[in-house]
Amino acid sequence: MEGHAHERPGGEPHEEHQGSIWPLVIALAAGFGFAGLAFLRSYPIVAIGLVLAGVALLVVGVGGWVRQDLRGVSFEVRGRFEERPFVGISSRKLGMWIFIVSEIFFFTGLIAGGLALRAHGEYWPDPASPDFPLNIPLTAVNTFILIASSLTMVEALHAAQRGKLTQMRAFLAATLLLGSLFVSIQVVEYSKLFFEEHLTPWPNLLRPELGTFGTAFYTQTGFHGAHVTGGLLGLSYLNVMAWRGRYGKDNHEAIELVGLYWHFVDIVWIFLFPLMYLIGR
Amino acid sequence: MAAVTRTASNGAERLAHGLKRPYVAIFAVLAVVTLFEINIGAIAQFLQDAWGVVVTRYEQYALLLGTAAAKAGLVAMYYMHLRYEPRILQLVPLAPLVFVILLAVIVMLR
Repeated sequence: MEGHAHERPGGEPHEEHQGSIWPLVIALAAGFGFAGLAFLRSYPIVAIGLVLAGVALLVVGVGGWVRQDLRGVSFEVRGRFEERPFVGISSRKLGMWIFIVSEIFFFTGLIAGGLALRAHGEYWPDPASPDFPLNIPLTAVNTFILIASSLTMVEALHAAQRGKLTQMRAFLAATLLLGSLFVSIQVVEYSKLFFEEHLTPWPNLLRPELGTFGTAFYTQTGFHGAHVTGGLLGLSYLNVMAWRGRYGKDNHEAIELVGLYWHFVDIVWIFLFPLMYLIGR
Repeated sequence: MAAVTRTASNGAERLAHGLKRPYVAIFAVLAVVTLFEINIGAIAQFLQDAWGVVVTRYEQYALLLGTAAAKAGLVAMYYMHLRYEPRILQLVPLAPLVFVILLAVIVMLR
């Protein structure tokens, strides 16, 4: 990443752009914006200032990046594989792992927020009691669907590595299907919970005691569901490209990388399912 | 220049050329452990009725967190191939876990 200009084959030193400042500016913009949102209740004036600063930085960042792109500034990619300290590791794979690290932080914050609500809220439903609002058997089925989709995903990669293209396509299609099934069941579950169990993300008049639980439940499972949906987009792309003959023995890194993300989302569910459906307080 | 150690540093690649892949076995373990998790209340009840062994609610919860962590570890090691990756890449996802534990402890204590 960091830049020391390296030499071209001809031997003459060549100045290169080793990176762009604009992604960093956009990240700062997001930091300001979200910090502002967090302080909106306690320090409204400071908060609004932060949000406005964030929006302004966002405009500058996106504008700068687009302008740089239009000027045709190119960044020499230093090869597909990393040097020290990640010697020999694919740059893209390392990038995906670092992205997953940021996702671990995200979900940790989310789950910790849920635990805090559970510990300090006035009421938290007991999974063992008959008026527990969630449908445990249905979601248990959904849990099996998700781990099965992890199996088909890793088998798709394995088939690609072996050059078995028909198997690879079948496993990719199966993963997409199982993932879609998971989200569909979650949508059905949400609508039943919302309209029949009166579990809403805010306190309602019919079951006011469930307000805290509803907030925690919908925030955590909703963000997870959104991640699964994002994974489905990646899987759709893989399926189309697989049918076009893009992947095979010598080209399957995309399958591995989408797979890493997919398995990570599965791991999040491995924690969320017992936390929301099996553990009370 | 850097493409020397291609196969050696790619966990998935190394597994692809091995004879046996553990994927289905891992799935079986995940499924059985999940079945155990879902039925943990009934199992505790059975233990109490049959042998008078009492597993309290909080012991069950601790057990559930333990099985979840074990399942997550299996997925990361085998499906995400971490077990076969170089040490330096294994450290990348381990780094945030320090903060995960810190945050969990703070939330519990407050």
